Amino acid sequence: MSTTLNLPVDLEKSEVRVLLVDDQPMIGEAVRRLLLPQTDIRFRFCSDPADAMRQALEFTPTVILQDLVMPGIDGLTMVNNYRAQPATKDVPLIMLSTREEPAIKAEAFARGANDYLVKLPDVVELVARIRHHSRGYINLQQRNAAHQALLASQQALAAELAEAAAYVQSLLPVPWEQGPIQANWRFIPSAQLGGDAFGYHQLDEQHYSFYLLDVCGHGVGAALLSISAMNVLRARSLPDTDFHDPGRTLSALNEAFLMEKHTGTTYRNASCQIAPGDSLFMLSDGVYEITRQDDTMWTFQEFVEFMQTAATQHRPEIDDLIQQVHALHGSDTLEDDFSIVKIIFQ
Amino acid sequence: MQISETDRDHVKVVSLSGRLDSLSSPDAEKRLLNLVEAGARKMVLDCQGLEYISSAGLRVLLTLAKHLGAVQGNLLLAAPADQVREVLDIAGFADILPVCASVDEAVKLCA
Repeated sequence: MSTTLNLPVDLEKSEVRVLLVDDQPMIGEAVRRLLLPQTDIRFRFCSDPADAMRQALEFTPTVILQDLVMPGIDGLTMVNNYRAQPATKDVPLIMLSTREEPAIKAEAFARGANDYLVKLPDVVELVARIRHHSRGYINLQQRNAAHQALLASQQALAAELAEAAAYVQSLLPVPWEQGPIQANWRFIPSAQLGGDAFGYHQLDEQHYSFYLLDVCGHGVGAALLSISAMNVLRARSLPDTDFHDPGRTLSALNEAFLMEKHTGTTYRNASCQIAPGDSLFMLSDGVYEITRQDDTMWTFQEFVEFMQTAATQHRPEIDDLIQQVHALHGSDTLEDDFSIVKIIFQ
Repeated sequence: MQISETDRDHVKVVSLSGRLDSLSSPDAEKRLLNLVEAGARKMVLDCQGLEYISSAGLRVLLTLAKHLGAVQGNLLLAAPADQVREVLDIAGFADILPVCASVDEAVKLCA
């Protein structure tokens, strides 16, 4: 976010403020009288070009009327000075001059002036131009303010999501690198944080528990719900639940974390034989639901084939997979949380 | 994902065809909720053409059921293919949303 983006104009008032810089007090008085009937236009006159920038910073004009020919400094150099200052770089500049040569006008515009009037202009035209340029400047300031607020809110949201993602990561288990059952994992939170969490622990000498959760929706709320459910599993704090029975554990979780009419659901248990040396992958759908650069979706079948190929070639499947997923998506930031746990049975 | 709709016996029958995944779910959700907003209260989702449903798709069904529930509406699923039915069963959705073997049966139940 830009730190130099200050907003000199009071956007609530949105009043027109005119600063005239001219070495001749007579011109200052003439313009003051021209603008006097316009009660909503505030006017300030500066006859000393050396003091013009200070006055501009103090008065915060919505338009500057700048004399072209002055003693000591010419108006074109003043244009450069205004454009070099962050606070005045966007303020509309109307050059006032007795000279009408096209080359001078062109030079003024080239340096950043917005308009050019020959002294003394007709009051109707002067007021119309002042209002036109001021309106454009105030609109620009309002847009900048809205943009700044949006950036700030996006940054706050991103910071919250990053904090929540770090919290989720701090709760994930340490890899098991020794022993009859080994486990390692990768977790890549999406930009919006997808509500994934996972864990594993030993229930008793004969039983281990592995679990992965993917809460519907995205954001801090989904992540916190996921963490709550994971903590319940870790602490085994569901009432009357045999944690050796995955189906009943799911049903108990379902009762503890009620969704719409989602009560009394029975979940099936299933079993399969695992031979020594086998690996089991536990994953969320963010691992294979990858939008390719051509906007098609990588399918579960393609994911399975990829993992099988990696395994037969004795390559590190998960690292290969992450590379593949980033290449398919064309970006390191994924749309959903990427969570995969590899469990190896020695 | 293609979505088409017809009215049968005051029941909105919405046919889902293709994949209801994280890519197609946002549009599908918008379209289905628009129907509720437009006044649909009895709805049957014809899942014959639905090839795949992901967790994002399940969320769409849950959100739709929630919106219809809030206006005393009714949602039934009809004729899901085996692979979709399996996902609904595993996720416990078959207990929340009635699943009928055919659209005719679902419309009768819903009407």
